[in-house]
Amino acid sequence: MALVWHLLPGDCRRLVCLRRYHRTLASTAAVGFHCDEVSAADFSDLHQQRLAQLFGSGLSFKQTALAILMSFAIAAVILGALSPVTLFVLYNAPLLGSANAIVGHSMILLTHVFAIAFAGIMANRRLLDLLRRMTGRDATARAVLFSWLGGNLFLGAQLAWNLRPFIGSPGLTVQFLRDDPLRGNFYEAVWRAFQHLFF
Amino acid sequence: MNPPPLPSKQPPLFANNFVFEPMPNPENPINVLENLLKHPGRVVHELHQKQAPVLAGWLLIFGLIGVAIYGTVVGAQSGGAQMWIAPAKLGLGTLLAVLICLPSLYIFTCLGGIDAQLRSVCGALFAAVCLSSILLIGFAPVAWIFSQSTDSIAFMGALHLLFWVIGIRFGLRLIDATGRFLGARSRGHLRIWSLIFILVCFQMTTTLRPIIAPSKMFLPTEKKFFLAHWFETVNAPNQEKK
Repeated sequence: MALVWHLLPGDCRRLVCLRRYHRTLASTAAVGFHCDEVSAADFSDLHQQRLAQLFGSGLSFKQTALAILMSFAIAAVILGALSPVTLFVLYNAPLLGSANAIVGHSMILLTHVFAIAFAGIMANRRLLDLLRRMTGRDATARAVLFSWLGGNLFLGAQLAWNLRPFIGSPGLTVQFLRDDPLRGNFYEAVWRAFQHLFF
Repeated sequence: MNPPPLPSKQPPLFANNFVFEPMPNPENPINVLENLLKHPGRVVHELHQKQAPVLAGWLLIFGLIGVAIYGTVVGAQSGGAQMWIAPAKLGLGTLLAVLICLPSLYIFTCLGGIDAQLRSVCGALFAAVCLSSILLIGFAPVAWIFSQSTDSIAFMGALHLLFWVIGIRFGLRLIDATGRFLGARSRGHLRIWSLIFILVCFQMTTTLRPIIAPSKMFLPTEKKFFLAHWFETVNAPNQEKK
């Protein structure tokens, strides 16, 4: 969390100055950015040499994992900041046992979907500056970013659907997992909620 | 008679023509209000000095008082108990909206590349609320004239919303200028937050309803979203003034 909090206010140079945090991480968890004694400029040059792993980004597996975890942490912070707003929406939604339960459920569902999608996009967008500095090429950085976004949003949403229920549904019992978790998909459910709300 | 001389040198202008310079006599609350209207950049500048918490506190208090004063005009439509219920609900709603949106504003300013402290963000938000409430007080006589000449709750609701939107537009402009002052790299984050804040305030009008029309209960039992409530109000027959 300290890493995230220090990242949030920073500009691109501060992102590159991750080495200070990486040094700590490397000594404790051996995540290994190997940048103990390099300057901020050298940091970018050093990793530009590690190309041809994924879109020519120069990111190692560990670096990629750390970057994704970093984006998850930022997304978590954004979601935490939005939680009073979503709580306010929940307070104003009709109860699941009321006559307008479908509308309330649809509104809550769409609110959470938009909040999580927004947090995910912003968190991944945050990595773009880092990727630009590390790759030195805007096109490569964007390719990596969109591939991450595709993985996190498109597939992640469907996985979340398979692990439902999170909110619960009007008329259905609360379960840890549905009896048919693989049936249907996330995007159909969102479209149905949209229809319930606006049509 | 000679016209007054033109200034030989224009002061430096920043975003939205705000001039960020020290405010003379910042301890005087009246002076703070005057500068908020005439030179909002000075208030933004003072919000980053040592006495920022005191100044932010004054701004919040003035903002809530200003909204409550406008609330008496809103309650004048129905009269009776609504004369104190409407100010109380508007003040409470404003405070709740600020508390709900403050965490996201701080996070979004940080994401926008602003190295801001929480007290500075609080001060900017309180200043925005205060500025919008001052503008609402300016609109209050107009709103009162209309409230005495019509029975339509929907029309008065739309009019109050219009005045509020105009007021908050200037308040959000102040927050945007604060972001520029602190070196924001992009305006997208603050624009998204502005949209969230406006939606929360719109919903607050439904959560705390009725604000204009009289009611036997202080708060409603049925939960609705603001668009549904607004459409119902527009489609409902005119309510007679009590």
